[in-house]
Amino acid sequence: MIRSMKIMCAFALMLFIEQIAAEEKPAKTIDESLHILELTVVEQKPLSGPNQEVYLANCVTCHTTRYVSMQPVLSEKKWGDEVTKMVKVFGAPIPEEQAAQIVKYLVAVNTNKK
Amino acid sequence: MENELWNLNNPSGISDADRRTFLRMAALGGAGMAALGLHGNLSADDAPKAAAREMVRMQEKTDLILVTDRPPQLETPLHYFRTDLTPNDAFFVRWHLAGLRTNINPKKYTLNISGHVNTALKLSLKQLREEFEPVSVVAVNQCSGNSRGIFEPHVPGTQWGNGAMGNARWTGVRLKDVLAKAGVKAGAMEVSFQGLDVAPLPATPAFIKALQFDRANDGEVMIAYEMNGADLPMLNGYPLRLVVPGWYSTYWMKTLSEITVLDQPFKGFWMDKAYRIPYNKTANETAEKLAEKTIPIHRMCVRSLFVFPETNARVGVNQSLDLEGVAFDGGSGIKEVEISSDAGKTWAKADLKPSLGNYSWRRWSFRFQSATKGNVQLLARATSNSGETQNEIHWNRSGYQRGVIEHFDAVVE
Repeated sequence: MIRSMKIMCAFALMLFIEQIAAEEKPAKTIDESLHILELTVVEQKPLSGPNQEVYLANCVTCHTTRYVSMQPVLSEKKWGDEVTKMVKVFGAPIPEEQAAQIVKYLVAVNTNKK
Repeated sequence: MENELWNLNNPSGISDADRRTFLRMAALGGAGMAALGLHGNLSADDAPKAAAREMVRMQEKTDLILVTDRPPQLETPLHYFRTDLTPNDAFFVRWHLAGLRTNINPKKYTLNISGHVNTALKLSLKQLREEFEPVSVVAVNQCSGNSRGIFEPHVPGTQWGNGAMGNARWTGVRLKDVLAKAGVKAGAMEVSFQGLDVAPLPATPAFIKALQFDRANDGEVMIAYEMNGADLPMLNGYPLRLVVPGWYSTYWMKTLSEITVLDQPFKGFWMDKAYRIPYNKTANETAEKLAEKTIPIHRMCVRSLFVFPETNARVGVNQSLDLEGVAFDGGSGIKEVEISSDAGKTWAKADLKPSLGNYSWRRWSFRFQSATKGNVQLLARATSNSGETQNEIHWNRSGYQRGVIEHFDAVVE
């Protein structure tokens, strides 16, 4: 009888210790489900300006029009540098005469921000 | 030589003449500075205003400031910085290339370690969790271009306000331990990191960043699989993100999949041309005289930011205005934050909240009162444990590493 009580006490103690351990370190469940990212598109009306169609045909493949609309007022030279960078560094296949048209568009819509 | 500079702390490189000019201009207020064409420390009036900016709710995110949607760039509203840890759903988002990986199977995800090693490894997420000792660190993750939108003269680039940063507890494994398992061969110089994001055009340079080997192997750089005790949101790089405590987040590669040990310096656009700062102690230059030499941005400079309330606050004469802010540096920890209401003539100590470690930011508070009516401009200046403090003037062409003393405008009425 006493022996069985001892066993029961020991058993209860074990449960108690286990419970403490469990409280201290909850078993982490790892989420192994397939994770799908739904990208959010927030439509923006492109700024109106000359050569807008050239700009849209060449530039929005890689980035939203917000890359232009968010910029502060920049000089024509700075805009030229940006377009050159897109062509030479990022590999945008923009013919030279179209690049010049795009710069005109960028300067026009950017200046309108003032 | 460059290594030497990379490890330098950031003692002021500003001349006394510059400092006097600044303080005079600060006394005039932001308008005076702008009228005189001075750059550097601007009135917060010039900051992109959260209130006027479009908000958006993307997957696993709360309403954040929409900077761009493709690729996603989201800014955290300042009030989220009133707590030590920035919630995952409020954490800022910044991707370079529009081709984010939109489906990830954690059972099949593989992290590749290759290059100048004895055994190339392909590690599963399970292996990373089970075969390496887990470690945690609380660390600030700040975009190199955080606050670019308030640089003057303005510079092109993502026009961030002050919310391209956050503070989180990162949990994962030491990069050092993973490299040891692969066995690094003698003569390793750098380690490069690439994630799963791709550009829409194949000709665009892949987004790859590199660390010098000693930094990569210092036991602090981590491969994190948790952020604040949960999986990373997909927009923050689920399932793995490199954590480089104390360094700008350009190195904190998201959806990390390729680690390559190199026996020569890494060559690539994102290290050689982009993310570079003037080669001087404070990453400072002027539009008229650009620095001739640049180096990759690396350790964060010390900063202190006003968080709450928003600037242009109103307070009654002899009433209390309780200000809250955060301060951090590149890993020595914050020693003190001081506030000035007289254009830097006198400074009073702000109360620092308990530290969560030297890579964490440290919140501060300050009770401002004034017996006289009028406009007041408060300045906040942090000093790190390594003795680095903030400068009155700071500018560079790319709008990186802002560390200038920030302003807060109040009206006592």
